[in-house]
Amino acid sequence: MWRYAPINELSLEEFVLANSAAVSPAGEKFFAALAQKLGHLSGHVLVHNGRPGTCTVSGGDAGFHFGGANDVPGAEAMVGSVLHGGDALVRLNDAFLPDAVLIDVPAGVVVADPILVVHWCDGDEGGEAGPAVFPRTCVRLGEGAWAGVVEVYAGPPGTSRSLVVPVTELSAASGATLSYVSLQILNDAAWSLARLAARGGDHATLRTFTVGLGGAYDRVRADVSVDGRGAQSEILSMYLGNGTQVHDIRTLQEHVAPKTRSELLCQGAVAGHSRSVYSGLIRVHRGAVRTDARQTNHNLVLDEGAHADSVPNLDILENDVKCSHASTVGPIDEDQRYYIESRGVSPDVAEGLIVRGFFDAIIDRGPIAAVAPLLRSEVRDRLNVALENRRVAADA
Amino acid sequence: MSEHVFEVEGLHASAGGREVLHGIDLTIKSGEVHVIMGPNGSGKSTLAHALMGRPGTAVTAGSIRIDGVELAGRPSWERARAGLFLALQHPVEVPGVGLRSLLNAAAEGRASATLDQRMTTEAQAVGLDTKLLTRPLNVDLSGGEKKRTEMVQLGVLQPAMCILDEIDSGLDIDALGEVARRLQLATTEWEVGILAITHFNRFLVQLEADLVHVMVDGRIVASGDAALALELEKTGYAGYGVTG
Repeated sequence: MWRYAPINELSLEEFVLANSAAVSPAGEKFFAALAQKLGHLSGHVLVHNGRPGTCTVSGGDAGFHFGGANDVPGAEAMVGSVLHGGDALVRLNDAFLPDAVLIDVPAGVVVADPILVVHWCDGDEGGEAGPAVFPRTCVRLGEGAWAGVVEVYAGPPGTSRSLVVPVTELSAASGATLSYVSLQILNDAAWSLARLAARGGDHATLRTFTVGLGGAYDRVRADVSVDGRGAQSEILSMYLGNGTQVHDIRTLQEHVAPKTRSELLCQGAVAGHSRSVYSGLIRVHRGAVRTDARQTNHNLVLDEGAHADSVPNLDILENDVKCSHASTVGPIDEDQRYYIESRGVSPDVAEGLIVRGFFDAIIDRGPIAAVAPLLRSEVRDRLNVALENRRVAADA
Repeated sequence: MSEHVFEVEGLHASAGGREVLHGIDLTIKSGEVHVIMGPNGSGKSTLAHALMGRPGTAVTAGSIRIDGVELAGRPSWERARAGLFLALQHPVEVPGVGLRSLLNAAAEGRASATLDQRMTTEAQAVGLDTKLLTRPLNVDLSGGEKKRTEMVQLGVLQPAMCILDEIDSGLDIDALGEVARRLQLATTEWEVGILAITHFNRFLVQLEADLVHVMVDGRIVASGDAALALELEKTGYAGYGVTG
């Protein structure tokens, strides 16, 4: 699980537990701007260094519980309910989480618009050691419920270091549909080591989309388990690396019950001297007959100094199953380039079209349409920098 | 409509390091339809890509001109801007890139205001479902839909000269008719010059050829009117030294 990762460069003594009490004006500003961009929301909260502020539900009583551990009934049963045990990072999060954001949607309730959770991660002004932040979010959907949750991880721009270790637990009971998007746009000095765990009961649908754009080292481990008969999951993951960034995506598609489906697409690009690792496992348990699992990973390598590793794995303990995996690593496709250029489009513009299209193709499949414009603009800003650097290098 | 002339003179080209074209001469004027027929491996597709400037297909000698402007040695996008258009046998899938973005970039934003209307008009002209116009380029389209999309691009861009690389392959009879009729109309609408590379005669039922060229082993070995295509249909290429 840590192969190719620079985890040995992590020294915890360089960080101190972040002060989660004080309100951050910069965070408030970021939060307000973001909430406006997303339009209609069913709920929103600004979480400062792991501690949620006021959880606001739009339009009065929405029929779901939304708050910190002291506000939501049965909170203690939610935290840790999806993740049984966990690695050292989960233990750290367990030990240091100041509070949790809990979203509990009772059976049959449909939450019409997305719920926005913004994590603002910063240190004390003038503090020497970087802040360590341990955010925890738990989302639970009762039978037949429907909800979408968007989490954004951000902090001050610049070169201040931070260590962010988020844990998110998602559970969907029978027939429930849970959509989830996370966007990590911390500064390029941050270390983000995220864990997402999701479980779906009979005929539940889990749709997750994790996006990593910021960070010196950005790791997401997403474990999605289809536990109930006929449950299905769609697991999307996207990254863009520039400079010396490392993006590290680990996925587990776990099939426990019969007739379950999972479809995974991880797609990203590395530019400059950045690096990416994708490692994914499809695990089919004994008894999970008629499983249909797919895993696809496409990596675009934009510069010679950049590098992508792709490691798909299968662990199948049942016979009557359908599993497939495919992965590509390479530069911009020459045939695509020729096709576009042969219409009179200059090479720079053609390249931009193809690479933006590569990202749009996965963004358009995202589970929460309202976040697509935000994801598009965050990717484009970073892509413009990467492509500009490339042109400068080509001209030199 | 201005008069354009497309001239290919003594063209030698290699693909994969091997010389495939050994001296091709063609002169195509506005509104003319020229057809190139020939057996497999005669160099027809290499000709299409040598004219358009595909990387890996190198012009080693000779000249390609539009209105006297030399195009050999220039990148494909400059050739396109000079008035060349190549409709591909296998239009490439480009995920996430819409037809509108492509055409907008090709027109450098100039046509933006009228682009949607023109795309719709062109789609209707070739029987392409206008809903497909918003799809990513060629992704999950049938063979016929891809070729129709190529015709939409042709109609919007209105180049002086259009090369068709076996655009008739894999088309059902309805699609073939619509594509051929669209091309025929274009020869009067903006007097496009056409160089159609094909295996089959059936394309010529709806697209009137002014001149048919027979290509064998990288050379044009015979040229004539549409009757030549009918003759080839009956006798094959045996009379041109091709066996089997």
